[in-house]
Amino acid sequence: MTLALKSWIEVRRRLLIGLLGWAFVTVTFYFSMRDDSAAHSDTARAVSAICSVETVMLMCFGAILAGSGVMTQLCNSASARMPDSVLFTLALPVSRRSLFLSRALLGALGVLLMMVLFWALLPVLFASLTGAPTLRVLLGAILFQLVAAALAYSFGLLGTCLFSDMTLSWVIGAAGGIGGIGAGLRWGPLVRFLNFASGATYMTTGQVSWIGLAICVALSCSFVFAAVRTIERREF
Amino acid sequence: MDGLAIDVRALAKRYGDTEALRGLTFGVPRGSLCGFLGRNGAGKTTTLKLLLGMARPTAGEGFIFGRRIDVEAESVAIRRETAFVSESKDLYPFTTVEQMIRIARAACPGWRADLESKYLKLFELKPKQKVSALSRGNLTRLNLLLALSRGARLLLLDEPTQGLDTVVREEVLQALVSYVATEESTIFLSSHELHEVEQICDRVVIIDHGRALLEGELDDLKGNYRRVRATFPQAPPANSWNGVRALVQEGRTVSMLVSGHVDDVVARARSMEATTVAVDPVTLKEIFLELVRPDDSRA
Repeated sequence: MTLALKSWIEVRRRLLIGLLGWAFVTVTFYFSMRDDSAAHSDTARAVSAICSVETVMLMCFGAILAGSGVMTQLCNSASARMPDSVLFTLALPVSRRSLFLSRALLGALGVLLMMVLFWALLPVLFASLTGAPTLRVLLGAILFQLVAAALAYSFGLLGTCLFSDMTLSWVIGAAGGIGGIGAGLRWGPLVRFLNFASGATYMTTGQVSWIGLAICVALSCSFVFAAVRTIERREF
Repeated sequence: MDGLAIDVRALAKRYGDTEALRGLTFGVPRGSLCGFLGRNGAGKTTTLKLLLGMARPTAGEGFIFGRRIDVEAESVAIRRETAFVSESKDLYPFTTVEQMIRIARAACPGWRADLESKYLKLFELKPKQKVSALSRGNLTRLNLLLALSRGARLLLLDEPTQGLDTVVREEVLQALVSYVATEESTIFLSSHELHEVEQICDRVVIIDHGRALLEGELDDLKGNYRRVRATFPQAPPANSWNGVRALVQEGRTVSMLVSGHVDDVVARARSMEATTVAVDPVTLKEIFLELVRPDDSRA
């Protein structure tokens, strides 16, 4: 409770700003899809398009939230300027692992909240298209998005432990830029990853890549584990 | 170890090529108000960070209330009984005074509501005020409130009066003395303000270049050191003084800082037919300056 209160007070502004940005993107996307006549005739195509955009945005917001909103006061690189109040935080009778995980959990809840908002909008969106997709399709999309968001978010968490704020901003920006260019150029591995992560592959083929899912989950766990170990070993 | 709040043995800390601590050894008895003195870069803040588990020693060992400072689980237990005020005094700027107190209260199991009320009133802090809007003096007051209200058995304070005006400074010092007296706690106070340390501390540890130069009761220390001034008919040879910590010779007059051998030095001066010999008490500042003076500037 203590750490939740502390974490909430620390991240609430960034979280609210993130949610506002997310809501803006979601609403904009909703109107563009509603007016897309081609999407009205093909539910699978519509769902696939929606989820692809949703996944990319969710990954970006997740990484940014992890990088800028969750851990900045505890995890900055030792070579960077030490955040002003970190000494107060570290002097509290709480382990570093608890401090880290409480903030990480709060950030994860923020990512989840963004997903819930989008999911709540999906039935409305689908109603204006060809019709609602099946529950199986929807749950599949949600599952894949959750895994993709967790991957980006945990990568962002690890980034906060390895880089300074400024460097991490560049890393996230560069990753987003490279991803955007790759997607624009239809770079094979990236397209396959996006199709997999967004659930588009599942929706079009009905096949679940369990190996892909397992790799994503394992990667996320390793990122979080590495981040915790880094924080526990860090010297301030 | 039983009677010690802090027990540090041969503690070393290296940052790359820089040796911040080189075999630092000292102890702080429970119930004392101990000043921790040293020049900039002497290793004071590094020592405090090691004690709190913010950094790990390269070598040596340290204990607070018998618990090892380099073991994470014990470090958390240490921080349950130890409060800290950092040199920067920075807290969470986006919170209010009230929220900072709530966070600290919830995090610290030994929180004392009575002390919280007492210091909130004494320091005249406004609960709804933003931390970012606090003056330097009020920020220090809030830091002290958070530290003193934790019900801690040990307070580690890094330059607690730095940048404060005379009134607030006096208020802070009185609060610390009162806390030790009423709560039977220990305070370990890093400071550059020697007159303040002399005013409130009963014990000092002086370090330089990562090593302890001196530790002990302040009264014993001051009782042990004397300034001996002797005037001679002719200039005496400079190397004729043993047991002298510092010597300044101006013409026929020699001024010496003597530790523990005052009678011997006075007898030696008289045997050299000094026309006058005066023995005066010295201040902590004089002792400190002499101890940390670079070797190449010594007489």
